[in-house]
Amino acid sequence: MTGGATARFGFLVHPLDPGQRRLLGVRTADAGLIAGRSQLFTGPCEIATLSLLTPRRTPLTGWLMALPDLPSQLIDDQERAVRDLAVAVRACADRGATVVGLGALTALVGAHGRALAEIAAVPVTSGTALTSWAAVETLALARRHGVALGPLALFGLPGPAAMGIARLLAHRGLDFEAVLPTPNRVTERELERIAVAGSTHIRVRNDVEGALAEGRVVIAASSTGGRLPLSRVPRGSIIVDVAEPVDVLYDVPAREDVLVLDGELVGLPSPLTGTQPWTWVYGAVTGQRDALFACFVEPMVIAAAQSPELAGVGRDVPLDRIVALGAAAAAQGFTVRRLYERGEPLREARLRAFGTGRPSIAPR
Amino acid sequence: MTRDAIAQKVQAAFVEALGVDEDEVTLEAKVFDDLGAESLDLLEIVFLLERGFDIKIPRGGVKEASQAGIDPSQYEVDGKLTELALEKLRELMPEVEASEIKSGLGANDIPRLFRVQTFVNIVARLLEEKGVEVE
Repeated sequence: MTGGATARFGFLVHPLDPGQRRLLGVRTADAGLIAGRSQLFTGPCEIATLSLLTPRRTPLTGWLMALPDLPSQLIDDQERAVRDLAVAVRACADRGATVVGLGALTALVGAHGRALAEIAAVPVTSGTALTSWAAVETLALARRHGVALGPLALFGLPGPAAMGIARLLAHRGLDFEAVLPTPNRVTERELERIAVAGSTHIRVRNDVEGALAEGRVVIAASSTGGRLPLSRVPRGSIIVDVAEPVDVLYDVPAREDVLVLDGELVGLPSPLTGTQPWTWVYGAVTGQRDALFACFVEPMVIAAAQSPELAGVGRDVPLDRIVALGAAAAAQGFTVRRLYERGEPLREARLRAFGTGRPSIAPR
Repeated sequence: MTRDAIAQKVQAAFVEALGVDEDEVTLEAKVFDDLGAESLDLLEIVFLLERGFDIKIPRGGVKEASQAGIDPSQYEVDGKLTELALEKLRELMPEVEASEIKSGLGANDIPRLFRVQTFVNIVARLLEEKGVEVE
């Protein structure tokens, strides 16, 4: 698509805590009053319209659609949640969206989105594939910036994002240690297959402390976050934190001797504009208008590339989809081109401290 | 409905949710250690079972059942289940070797004990509560 019709996407979110729910309710009531009608926040509701432009001058417009449910409510009655999500997808489709991304728990309920995909008006996508791609791209960018990489350890297995990352690391010929705190045969066998397919060496280990001690670079991509207490991370480590909520558990203040890179931020092809101040809505959206979480970017890429076949849900994230989505993202101007640490662009001094030239933070 | 029929549908749910081979989903298989599940996969398994059997599986059901009738202060001390709680858990989960339900176990460790059979038992109980005859 070149300078043509507007590509349209949707993205579903929900409040992560009661405070956010109240804020969303107020926002919804405001919108209702402006429209000349009262409205209660009891069902799926549009909370923002977003716009940007791809390098090929394709206008991209999206709708951020919120459900009122808290995580516990989505989990308690998944059948109802799936029905409500289908209504929200329909609302996006009615606005012209050709694909809808699933944020937070909306990607998990109903059999990892599969039940929704069966009844949704347009394809839905979980964001896991582009998240896996962004994590590995972050690692590649760090290397290009001269960050001294070394032994690589992958945390978060057997979660879908971590498995996707494992597939892409192997595909790119990178050896790594796969950390499985609890041994399980099924995952180990799959890792063996991945290693063979990529002609790489994957060493499975079960001791977290050992992996942390030996892994100069840790990719942390658990499904639930909060798995990596910062106090236990050795001096000189570099963590690519992919999980959302983040995997690094800040049981001590942020440390100068540990670099924590955001592992799922993707740069946008143009500044993002929105009809409402929306960045607070999706919890930890960083406020960076030039970069967004990969799961959020995934439906943008699919819409811009007019490739609904790249949409996907479910636990399994095949390598070919990750590679194809990454290529489509790059072609549409969505790239990992800047390093961030805890939501802020990485400072030069931090880069120098962890660089290959004269690393002042040597690994232990 | 027979227990065998329940077991077959439960096993099919595990195959669908985890993408594992049918022959791996034995009734004795440990959900996490043998079948490679992670905690969020339980959400999918519960959904498939609820849909497949038209039942509602309460969240944290096993943990709550093991707490029933026990004073909270007597249930868990310093993050570890008391002997009273362990005994209750052994009664609730006969499919798990009693020796595995031992001192040092915390309430958060309970899901690690889950077998495929655990879910068969839960489904059978809920069906009976609904008035379905389970043979």
